[in-house]
Amino acid sequence: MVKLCQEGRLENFAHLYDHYLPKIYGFIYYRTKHKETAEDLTSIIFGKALRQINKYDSAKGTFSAWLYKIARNTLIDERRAKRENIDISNIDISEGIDYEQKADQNLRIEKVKKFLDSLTPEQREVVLLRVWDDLPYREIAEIVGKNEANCKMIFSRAIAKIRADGSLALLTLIFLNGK
Amino acid sequence: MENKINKILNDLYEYDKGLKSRESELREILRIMLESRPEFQIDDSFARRLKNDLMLQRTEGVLDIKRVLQFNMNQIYKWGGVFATVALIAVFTVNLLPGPKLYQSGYEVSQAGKEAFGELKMNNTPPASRSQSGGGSGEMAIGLGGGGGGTSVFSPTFEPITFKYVYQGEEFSAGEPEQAVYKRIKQPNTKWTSGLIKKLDIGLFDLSSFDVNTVQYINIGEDKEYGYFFAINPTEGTITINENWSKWPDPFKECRDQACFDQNKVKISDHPDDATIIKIAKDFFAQHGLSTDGYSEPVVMNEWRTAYELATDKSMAWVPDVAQVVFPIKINGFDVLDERGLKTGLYVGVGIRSGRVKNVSEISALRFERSDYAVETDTARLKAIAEKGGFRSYNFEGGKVVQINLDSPFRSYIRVWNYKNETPQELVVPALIFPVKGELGRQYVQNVVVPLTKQILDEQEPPITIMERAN
Repeated sequence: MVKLCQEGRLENFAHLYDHYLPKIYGFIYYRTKHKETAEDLTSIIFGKALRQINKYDSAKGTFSAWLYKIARNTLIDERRAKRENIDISNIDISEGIDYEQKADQNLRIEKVKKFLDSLTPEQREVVLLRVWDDLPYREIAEIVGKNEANCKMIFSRAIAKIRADGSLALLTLIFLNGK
Repeated sequence: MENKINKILNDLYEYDKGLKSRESELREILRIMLESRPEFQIDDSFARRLKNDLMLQRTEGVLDIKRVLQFNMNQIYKWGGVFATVALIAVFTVNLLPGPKLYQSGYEVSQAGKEAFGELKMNNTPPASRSQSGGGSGEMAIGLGGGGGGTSVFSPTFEPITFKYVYQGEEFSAGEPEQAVYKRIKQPNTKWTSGLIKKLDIGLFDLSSFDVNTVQYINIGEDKEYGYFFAINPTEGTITINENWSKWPDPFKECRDQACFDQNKVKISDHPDDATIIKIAKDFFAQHGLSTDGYSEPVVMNEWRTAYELATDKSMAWVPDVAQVVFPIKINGFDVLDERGLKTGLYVGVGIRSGRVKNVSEISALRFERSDYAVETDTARLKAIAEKGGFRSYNFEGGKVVQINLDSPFRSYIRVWNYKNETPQELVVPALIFPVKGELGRQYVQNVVVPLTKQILDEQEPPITIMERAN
């Protein structure tokens, strides 16, 4: 499909759009928690992808990773324009949750937030790309500009940090009490 | 979720086997992380609008079908002898070669200058809808609904209705101030027609004593069971295939009373699913080498089912004998629509009783020229036209008022006919399609269509000029 687009048959971009819209929209929404921002940035991302489709080189990586890179850079640009912290994995995962109805989960979520806050920006980004965006390490590596083994190491060390902080022991207690 | 967690953990263990001892802890943290992932629902109208905008942004790709022979001068010397031999053979075999083709198959769009098609005035009423299958036993499938108002043929209550259109969508844009209009090139091949005429010996008089130089219509056929007729219109560049009705079984042929007609009527349970109907159409195309270049995936036109579902007495509700399949023309990534906002292109009628293709209409090579024309960008005017029922709409006055609610429009293309000097020009023009919201409305009308090309709109809906108050 990508090859057809690069040959000038750009009507095939519609198929790429259909396939990647939920993934790219999700990527933005998980990090902004704001519908209008997600829509605006998704529009920009697909517009860029369409205009730059001939710049994609399959020898250098997958189309999926190339598209996510555009998404990542677009989000960084948006944060910079707003003079926000450019660590794009800095999110408030408890934003928007109905605390009254899910009061029993607040403490758990607070602990997970603490866990994510304790990570380096690099670790946080890899963890979110793996767990929330469900991307394989190969693509994560292309997106963040590292090699695959490095990304696995980063993820492993991030997970291992839970024990080191002792927060997992606390979490386990909470889970056992919550069941 | 468990599968996802297992995958993540297995990847981790490949890197660090030591982590396996902490599996229950890791499983819980991953579960919480996944449960806390924000949920989202992509707005359908946003998704549709963005897709339309992207398709309109891209550049049209023009296929170059010309083949250029490139000779290597060294090769000419090397192969000169071979070429000479081939040329000699060609001289003796030229009379055995097939004649020039009537049409060049394939899909092509070429660029013309701005407003190259002249004035776009919809001077005359277009011919009867070409979406109806023609000929045969007269059993036709007719699509329901569309952009116009007025009394619906398929109104379940058969009483006069006055439609009141109300826009309930979001703010929208018409897009760029100039947008492409596409004109189909009919490509009559005069070599083919003059060649055909020269070979024709009437036997009753000397045809060559006349200056016969045009062929307007040819009808040829198969005189056999389940045979077909082929109606070829070289001037218009279209071909229609119809059943040779005298060679197809007709269950009503011997009927003399209503009971016989009722007994032989097609029932809704006789209709196979859409996939089966489409397969019959596609198999027919494959068997006879019919190309679908330039067309999108086919769909079955099931609009008649809306009226059927709403009918209180199903035994009186109309069930077509022929299922209509449409292979939509594709322009600029969009499926081209008709003035009712329904897909239009190559039409195939599939007989329900026979399970065979009965007719194929609007077979033509898709050759288009595109030219930019000014577009109406005043959204207030476009909304006002939509709330009157759209392009070429009419509304019965004094009937039962039915409110038709309109959703946010999406951009697409519609096919219209412009008549210049008695000759129809087939055009595909940009348009806004306002989908109808709610089942109540959709039983009458599917969409309201508003073309964007200014000349077409001004001809049908002249803008109101506010006169300045005289002091």
